[in-house]
Amino acid sequence: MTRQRPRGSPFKLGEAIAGYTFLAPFLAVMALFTAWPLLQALWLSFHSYDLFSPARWVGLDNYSYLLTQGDFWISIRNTALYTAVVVAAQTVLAIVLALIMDQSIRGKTFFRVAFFLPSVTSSVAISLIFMFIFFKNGVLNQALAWLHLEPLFGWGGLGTPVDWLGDVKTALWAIMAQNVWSTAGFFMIVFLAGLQDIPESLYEAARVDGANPAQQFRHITLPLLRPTTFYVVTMGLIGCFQVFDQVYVMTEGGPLKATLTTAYLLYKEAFVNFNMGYACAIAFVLATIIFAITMVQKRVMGE
Amino acid sequence: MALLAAACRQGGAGDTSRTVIRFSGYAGNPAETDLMKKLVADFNAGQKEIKAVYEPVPGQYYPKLLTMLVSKTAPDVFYLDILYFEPFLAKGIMRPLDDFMAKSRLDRGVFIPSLIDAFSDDGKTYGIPKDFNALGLFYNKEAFEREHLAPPDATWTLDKLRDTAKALTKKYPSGHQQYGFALTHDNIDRYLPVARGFGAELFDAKGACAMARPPARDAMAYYSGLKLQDKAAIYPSEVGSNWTGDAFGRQAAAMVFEGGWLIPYLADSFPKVPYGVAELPRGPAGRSNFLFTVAYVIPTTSKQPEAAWKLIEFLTSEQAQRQVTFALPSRKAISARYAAARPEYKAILAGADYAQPYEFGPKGDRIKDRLGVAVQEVFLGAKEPARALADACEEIDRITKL
Repeated sequence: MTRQRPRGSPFKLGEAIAGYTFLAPFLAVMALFTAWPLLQALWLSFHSYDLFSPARWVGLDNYSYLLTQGDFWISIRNTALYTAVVVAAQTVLAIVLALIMDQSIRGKTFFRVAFFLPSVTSSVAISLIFMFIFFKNGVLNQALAWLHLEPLFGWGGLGTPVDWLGDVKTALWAIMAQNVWSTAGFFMIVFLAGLQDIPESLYEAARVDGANPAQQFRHITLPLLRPTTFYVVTMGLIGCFQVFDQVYVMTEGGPLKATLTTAYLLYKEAFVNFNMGYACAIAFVLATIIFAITMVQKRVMGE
Repeated sequence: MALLAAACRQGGAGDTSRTVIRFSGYAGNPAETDLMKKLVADFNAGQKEIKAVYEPVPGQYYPKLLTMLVSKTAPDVFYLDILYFEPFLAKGIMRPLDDFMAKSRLDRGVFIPSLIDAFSDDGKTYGIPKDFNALGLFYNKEAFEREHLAPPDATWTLDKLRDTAKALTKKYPSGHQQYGFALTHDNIDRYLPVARGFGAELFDAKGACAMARPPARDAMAYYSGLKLQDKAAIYPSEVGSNWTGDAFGRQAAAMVFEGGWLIPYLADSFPKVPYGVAELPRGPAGRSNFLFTVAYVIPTTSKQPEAAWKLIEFLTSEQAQRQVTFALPSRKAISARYAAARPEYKAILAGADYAQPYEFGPKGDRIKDRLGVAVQEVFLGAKEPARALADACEEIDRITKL
C-alpha cells in the first residue's frame, strides 16, 4: 500500500469546502424535503397514529399486522400480476413500434407524435375516457358487437355484455390495457433514441456476412439496445408498482378488491382510515420490494 | 413572493378592518353551490365586521377536511354529514354551540326535532342542521301508462314493487331497452331501507352486529333477486350512469329509490321525463327510510368562533332557508310551507317522518363500507347472502371494538 497524502491537507480541504458549498442549496432542499420526511415516515411506521391523538409506540406491530392481514397480500398479488403483464407488454410493444417507426415509411412523424401523445396527457383524463370505453354499453362492447366478436367473451345472443370495470375477472386487465396503451408511446421514443445510437456500419458488416434481418435483430439490435431496455424495464417496474391514479379514478380498488393495488391500499389506510403508522409501514415494505426487484433485475441484465 | 403578498394585501385594503372567516362544503350539486355563493355574498353585504369566504371542495371532502383539521388549517364553518357526526364527535373536533345559541336567542324548537337531535350529544348541540332529505319511490309515468299499470300509491308493498318491475322490463320495438328498477349493488344505500322493511336491525340490544340474522338475509335475497333472478333491475354503471337517479333520467329504469335531490336534477337535465314520487313500499315488517341531513359546525380549532357563529346564524335564518331548492329546509315552519307548495316533495316529507338518520355510530363510515362489500359480494356472485352477511358482521364486530 502506497502512502497517501495526509488526510485533510489544506488543498484537499479547500476543494471539499468549495464543493460542498456549491452543493449546499441542493443538499439542504434534499434533506428538508426528501431525507427528513423519509426518516419521519420510518419513525411513524413503528407507531400507531391517527393524526388526532399523539403517536403511540407499537414497535413492530404495524409490520406484523401487515403480514397477517389479507388486504395487504391481495394488493401485493394484484400489483405483482399487474406489473408483470404491463412491463412485459409495454416493453415488447415499444420495441415493435420503435422498429416500425425507424423504417422510412410515409407519415412517420405523424405516427410518432400520435403514439407519444398519451404520455403527455393527464392520466386522470385518460382514465375517465377509458371508463367510457369500458362501460357495459361503451365503445369497446359496441365495437366487439359490430365485429361479431362477442362469443369470444362468453356473451352474445341473449347474454349480457361484459361490464369490463365492474367484473372481478376483467377489471384489473382493463386497467392494464389502459396503462400499456398510455406508456408504450413514451418508451417507443426511448427505444428510437437507442436505435439511432447503433452504428449503421455494424448492420452493413452483418449484411456482407449474409445475415438476414431476423439475425441482425437478434444479434445486433437487441444486444446493443440492452442499456435502453434496462432503463425501460426499470422505469416500467417502478411505475407499475406505484400504480395509483388509474385505480383511484376508474375502480377505487373494486370490484371486491380485484384492483386493490398496494399504492391504493396505502392511500386508503392513510387518508381514509387515518392509520398513518400502518400506511407508513406499507410504504416501506413497498419501497423494499421495488428496491429488491430492481437489484435482481440489474444482476440478471448484467448491468 | 413578498411582493406578491404585499400586492394582495393592498388589493384587499378595504377589508382590513373585517374579520375574515372561511366556510367550506362539498361542491355536490350546482344549484347548491350557486345558492351558497349568493348567501355568502348577501352575508358579506349585510354587515361590515365579518368577511366570509366560501371554499367549496369538489370530491373527497372528508379526507381533505380531516387533513386540514389536523394541520390546523380547517375552515371556521363547514358542512358535516350526519354519517360523520359521531366519528367527528369521538375525535373531539366540534365546538358546542349552546352558548352562542343562548346569546342569539336561537331556540332549538324552531328546527325539526329529529334533525337538531341528530347533531346533539349529552345535552350539547354541535351543529345546526341546514336541510334534509329522505328517499322516495320515483316512477316514470309514461312507462306505467304504456303498460297500463296503476302508479305506485301508499298501499304498495315490496312484493308489488317486484312484480311491477318485472312487468316494466321490456325491450320496445323502437330499440329502447327499459328495466323496471335501478339499484346500487356496491353499497347499502338502497339495501338497508329494504332490510329494515323486512325487520332487520344493524345492531342488537347488546351492540353486536345483527345483520347476519334472518330478516337481513331474506331482504338480501329479495334485493339481489330483483337483478339476479328477475333480471328486472340494473346498476347505473351498466347504462353509463354513475347514480341511479341519472339512469332514471335516461329512462333506462322506470323506477328508482332516490332522494329529493333528484327533483331539481331532473328539472335541469331531463325536463321531458314525466315522473311521480311515492313513498317507499312497505316491507313485511313495515316502512323504513333514510334521513339524510347536513349541519353547519364550528371546529374547536377556529380562532374566530363568534364570527363563524354569525355566519351560521345567517345561513340557517328563515330568510336564507326560504331560498333552498334542492332539499327540505330544516326549520319546521318553512319546511311545511315548502312541501305544500311543491307536491312532488310530499312523499319525501312523509318518509322523513319515520326515517332513521343515515348514521351508524362512531365507526359508522367504516361499518357502512364493510356492509356495502357484503352487498357487492352477493351481486357479483362471490358469496351467498348468508355467508356474505355473516362475514361482514364478524368484521363489523371487530371494527366496533377497535
